[in-house]
Amino acid sequence: MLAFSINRESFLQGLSRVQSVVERKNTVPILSNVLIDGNGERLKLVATDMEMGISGYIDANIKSAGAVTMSARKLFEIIKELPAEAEVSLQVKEENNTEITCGRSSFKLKGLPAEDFPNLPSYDEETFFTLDAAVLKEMVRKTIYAASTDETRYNLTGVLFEMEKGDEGSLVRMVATDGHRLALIEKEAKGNIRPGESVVIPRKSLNELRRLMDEGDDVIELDFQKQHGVFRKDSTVLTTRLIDMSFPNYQQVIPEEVNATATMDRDALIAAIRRVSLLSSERSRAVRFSFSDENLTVHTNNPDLGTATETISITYDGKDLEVTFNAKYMLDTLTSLDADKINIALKDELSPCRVYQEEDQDYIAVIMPMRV
Amino acid sequence: MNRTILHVDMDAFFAAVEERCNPALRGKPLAVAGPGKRTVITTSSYAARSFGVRTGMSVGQGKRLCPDLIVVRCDHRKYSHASRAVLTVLESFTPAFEPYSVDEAFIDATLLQRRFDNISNLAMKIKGAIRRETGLTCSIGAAPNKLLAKLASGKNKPDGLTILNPEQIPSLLEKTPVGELCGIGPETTRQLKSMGIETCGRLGRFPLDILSMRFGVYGEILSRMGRGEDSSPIHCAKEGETDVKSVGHSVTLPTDVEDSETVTNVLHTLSEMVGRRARRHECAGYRLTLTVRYSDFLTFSRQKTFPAPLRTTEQIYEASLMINREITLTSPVRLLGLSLGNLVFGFQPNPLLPEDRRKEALQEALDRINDRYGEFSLGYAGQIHNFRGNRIISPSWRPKGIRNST
Repeated sequence: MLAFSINRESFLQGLSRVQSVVERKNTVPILSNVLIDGNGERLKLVATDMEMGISGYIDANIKSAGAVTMSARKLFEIIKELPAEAEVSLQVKEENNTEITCGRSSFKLKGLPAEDFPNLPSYDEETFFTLDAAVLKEMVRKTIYAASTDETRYNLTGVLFEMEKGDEGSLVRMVATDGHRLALIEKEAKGNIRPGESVVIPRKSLNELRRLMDEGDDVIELDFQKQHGVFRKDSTVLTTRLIDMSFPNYQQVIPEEVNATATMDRDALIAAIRRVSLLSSERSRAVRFSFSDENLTVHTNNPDLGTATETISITYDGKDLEVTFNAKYMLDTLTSLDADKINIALKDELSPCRVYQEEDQDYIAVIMPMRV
Repeated sequence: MNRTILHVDMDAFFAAVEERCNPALRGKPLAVAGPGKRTVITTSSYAARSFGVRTGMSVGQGKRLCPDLIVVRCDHRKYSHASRAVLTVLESFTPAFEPYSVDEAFIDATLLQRRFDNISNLAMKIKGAIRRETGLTCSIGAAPNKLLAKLASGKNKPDGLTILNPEQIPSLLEKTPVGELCGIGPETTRQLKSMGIETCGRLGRFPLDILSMRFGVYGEILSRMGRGEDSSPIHCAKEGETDVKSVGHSVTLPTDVEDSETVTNVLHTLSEMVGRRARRHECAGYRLTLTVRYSDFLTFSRQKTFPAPLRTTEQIYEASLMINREITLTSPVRLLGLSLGNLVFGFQPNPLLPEDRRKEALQEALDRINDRYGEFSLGYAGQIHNFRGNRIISPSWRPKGIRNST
């Protein structure tokens, strides 16, 4: 039966990495558990909610090989409360009950058999391709906010991931939309990608991937199979179910005809929208943009609360236009950009508008105005 | 200013309409019964009532009490037509009226009565006009609010008129059983009785903290009802719209159902009814509530809030299916209801994706056809048996009003 001792810090780090994947709804009890597998040289920690799974390795002094599962949350909370740099011992006893000791503290945590823990999808070492983690991280950040959180629009709750042979090499494209706005980003891929492949990755899994990439910029290994995708960074592996529904034809949505373009300071616009939208209706978040020569006036009128107005200086080319946007959508887009100056390209009051920065034309953000 | 509210209640409405259509039935003991196998009496004529035949009895029970009872199968199209005729008469008096069900309406007579010298004169004029235009009789109650007006209209049926003056109210309530008030059902009556409260007078004097402990926020409403207080406004078709908090519908199924296919099918019809009303009023809702009542009357609801407001029938239907998936039905279902909440008014969609724009265009086309040719002229094929014979859709249903009623 499994027995090992481990440094509290590395145990805590390993546990915190798998924590967010653990099923919260608690419909299948074992899915609230973490699998601790000490059958190899290092200790393997695994968690899954059946949609995605994560496994990682940590160093431990394994005294007796074996495996067990126990409440991921309780174990994490216990280890978190133990003194820093302490040595923690785990010993599995009868019926998967596990004794945790550290200094003069001791806990007996009930467990479930490791054999009952679901297997994560398998993957093939041979088929991995690699991407620069910093690039992938940026692509996820600039698209994920536009993915839908509406479960009735299942195919929009993921981000499209496409690989293509471009004019000067390989290209990776990610697209997300919730039916009101769209974000598209293309990047050159240095790794050995697989042109022609296209998958839809659930938003939740990409959030998890983001956390994984936060641990340092390096390379990410990827592989897509029929129903699931695999991401590997160092020895940590994230597997996810893929969305098996078609993604909308995003090309039709990207505005081509532009009748007016405004250029302005990004921070000033963000600050103005934040202030003015304080009085916008909580439900619709409607904020009116009045574009005219040299000035953009951001305005909201809420019959229940009052009105708010702020004017910022812009350079503008086009006839005067009044367009109403959802403040949240505009802020999401503006904060995903990083340049000091941004551009808003418009056709008319009701057609999709494009927000972009001069130095990053591979990133396209589209927002549909509101009809009022 | 003190309000004056009239409650117009048609007398034995379904039976009266049947008598009007077939004069040979006039004055005979008559019962109108539902179309299904488990037929119960929906309405009985006053002649039948004198034998003890009541709404809710089975046809068999009715026949035992009155062997000569004539049973007519209900024909909601007739009642719906007659109901519209009655509302048209009311509309000729004032726009400030609220259709409350197929055979009842409230009228705000606060200002109107001055044109007719006094309230009694106005009420008699309304009764006369309804009789002249439709051949039907009604009973009218007049009181300072809706609660008391409805109580009053039931006091002197048929063809009655009861005017409650403010000074009469305390003595009337003193001996009125709580169950006679609209809004206090058999379950609440039973609970109140267990607390020793049987009359409105006692309910009104009962310590509020005890009522609140037992009934929560409803305790205060009950206490006010006991004193005959009610400030709810008249929801007339045009003025009341923006005050509306939700748009909902519920249906009692012709038979209790257990199979999920029928449940989802009814949800589709309800989605169309709720969606159509919401669209008529240019509103959309972020929250959808699904209500289920089992055959043993155990009732519960589940709700979900969505990131974008629901408006089209398809959006509402998809959302209802999603809520439904998370419910495990443990008994046969008697009633299903859907209600759209967290409303935004003046909502007009502007979808980004071409597929969504096509769906909006389809919805608009469907609505326009149904505006022109009547409700459910064109709908989803799977719904067709719900439209025929009005088994699911109640005759009082029309998408014009936005009230949350069933």
